[in-house]
Amino acid sequence: MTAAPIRPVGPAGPVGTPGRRHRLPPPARRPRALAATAGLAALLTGLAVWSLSVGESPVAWADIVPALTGHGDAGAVFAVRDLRAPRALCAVVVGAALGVSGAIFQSLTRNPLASPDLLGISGGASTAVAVAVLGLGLTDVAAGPLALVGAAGAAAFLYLFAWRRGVSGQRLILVGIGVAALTTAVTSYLLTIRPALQTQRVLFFLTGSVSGADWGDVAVATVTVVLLLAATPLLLRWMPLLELDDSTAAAVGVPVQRARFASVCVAALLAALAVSIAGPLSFVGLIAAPLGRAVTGRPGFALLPAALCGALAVLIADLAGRTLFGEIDVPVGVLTALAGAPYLLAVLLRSRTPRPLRSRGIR
Amino acid sequence: MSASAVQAREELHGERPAPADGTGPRPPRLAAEGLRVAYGPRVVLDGVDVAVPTGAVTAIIGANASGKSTLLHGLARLRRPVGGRVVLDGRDIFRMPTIEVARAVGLLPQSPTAPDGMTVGDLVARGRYPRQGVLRRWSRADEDAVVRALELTGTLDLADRPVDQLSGGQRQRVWIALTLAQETDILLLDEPTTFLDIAHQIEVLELVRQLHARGTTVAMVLHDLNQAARYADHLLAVRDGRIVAEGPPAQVLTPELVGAVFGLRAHVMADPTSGAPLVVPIGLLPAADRP
Repeated sequence: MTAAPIRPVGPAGPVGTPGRRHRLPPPARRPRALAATAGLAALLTGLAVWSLSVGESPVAWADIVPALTGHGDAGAVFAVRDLRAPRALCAVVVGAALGVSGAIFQSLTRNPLASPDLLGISGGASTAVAVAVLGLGLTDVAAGPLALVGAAGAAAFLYLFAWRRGVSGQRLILVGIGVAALTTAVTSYLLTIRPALQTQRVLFFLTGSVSGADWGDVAVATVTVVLLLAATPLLLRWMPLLELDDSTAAAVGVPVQRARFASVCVAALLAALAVSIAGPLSFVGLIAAPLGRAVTGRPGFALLPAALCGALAVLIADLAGRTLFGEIDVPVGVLTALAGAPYLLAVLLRSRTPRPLRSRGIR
Repeated sequence: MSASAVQAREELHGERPAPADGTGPRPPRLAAEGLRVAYGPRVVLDGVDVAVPTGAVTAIIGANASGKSTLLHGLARLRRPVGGRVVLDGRDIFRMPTIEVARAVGLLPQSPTAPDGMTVGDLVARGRYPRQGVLRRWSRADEDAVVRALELTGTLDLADRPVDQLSGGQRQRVWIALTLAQETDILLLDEPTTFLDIAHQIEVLELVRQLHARGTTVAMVLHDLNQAARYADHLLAVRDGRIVAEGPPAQVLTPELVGAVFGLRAHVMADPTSGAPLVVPIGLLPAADRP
């Protein structure tokens, strides 16, 4: 070795000195994140229970549990067990699914604007329903399965066209915007050429609502929850690396293309299931993850906070829609859009100046 | 490798290195055999045979678009070859589980990116991926390895700072810490000094020497020939997807080589501080003589 004389760099401190251990708890276990996550969960639980008691015919807290099991006043049983419980459950699951779906898409594409609605997956559901009801005249077919097929189809289309020897986040966004525009065009065309009487039902679906949720929807919601739980271990392992650059992820041993394909599938399926229950609720997938980050102080992909924030967003919007406007039951989709649009503007306005140079070796 | 270096290496990696006889060079663990890499129809590496000397610092030099980075990516199994293979400990790197490769070879890419607001500690912890599993997640060993990586790169004090608020030099050391948290014996660095000012460049290169002293095998792409000469034990000169020269800097860095690889006329003299070759460019070669 003839090269440079080796100077010691920095303090040659003792390595792993006992007694002076540095603690580096993972982000999810930091006190603030723990407290905030617990707070979100408590708030969600409280609101969900409260949503069983409020409404046109209020049910006392003490009567909720009997009503759920079919005991007590018949009106209370009907209101709580048949109307409000499935509605609350669906709102929570739909919100959580959209929240996680958005979090996955945003982390995969490294773009805060990615979400199932902006990538055209919700649009695929809308188009499928519009085509079936308005195009083919299938008026008595259930919207749920159609939406599921449409959303899954749009997701497959998205992946296929974004594929070019592997899929990059950037292309996923660009193709997604194209898919969204295409589905909107088809849906709008069908809405304009059909008489108002026929379009009414489609329009209601397009707005997004859990007001008609029944125990059949709860079954779909259960499937959604099972999918989410099954995917969680792999998402927690892959997403923290996939949200970095591809080279780093591949270098530490992530099977990047396979992991990204699996994650896109999970995100698309979660969104498709959610949309099949509640219609294409806008903005929930967009705001849930950043909201979770803001509340818990955890940057990057955080699954549980995103799920909780998505669930809270839909549950609160639905509660507000059916309690704040008197007789009118305002669809939850109207309220999520009302709350989400200002957020989108805020992101665009706040987005710090030239982004491409940040937090990288600069190219 | 000296006894203290062996000990330091054990401290860093928590494992015994393969027995070294102390005199001759150890057999290479990572090597390319007839490696051909192409981007679509364009062949970037055309039958490269090269071994990364174990326990040494290797610098890969060459003009822009000569295939330096591609060679490094090929060695790190980030590019699937269209011909030939890369072997790690005698096994084809693409026939091994990728996670097993990640326990032996770390890579610092050219422009790594982290999400907004991500803290140094969180980022470096992600280098533990190949040491974890779906069920085996964060452990004491992970924490210790991350702290060691942060200490070694002098970034422990920055652990709670967001990566995007650091200076370029600090950030580069943080990304190197991520690869160190991986606890690999072999480290590949793609232009680790690019876009850093001169002091930060030296800081990164001194860190490389420090890692070398701990027994890590390092191969890096460098643009600065004088830095390559001074900080590397072994040079690989790449031109048009082939290795045109390799060996100790004093043998490799000649006016002829600088002419052949970069199309430059140059003086090569001894660096007054280290004795390593020092390249002083005079001017461009006539266009006809350029590579």
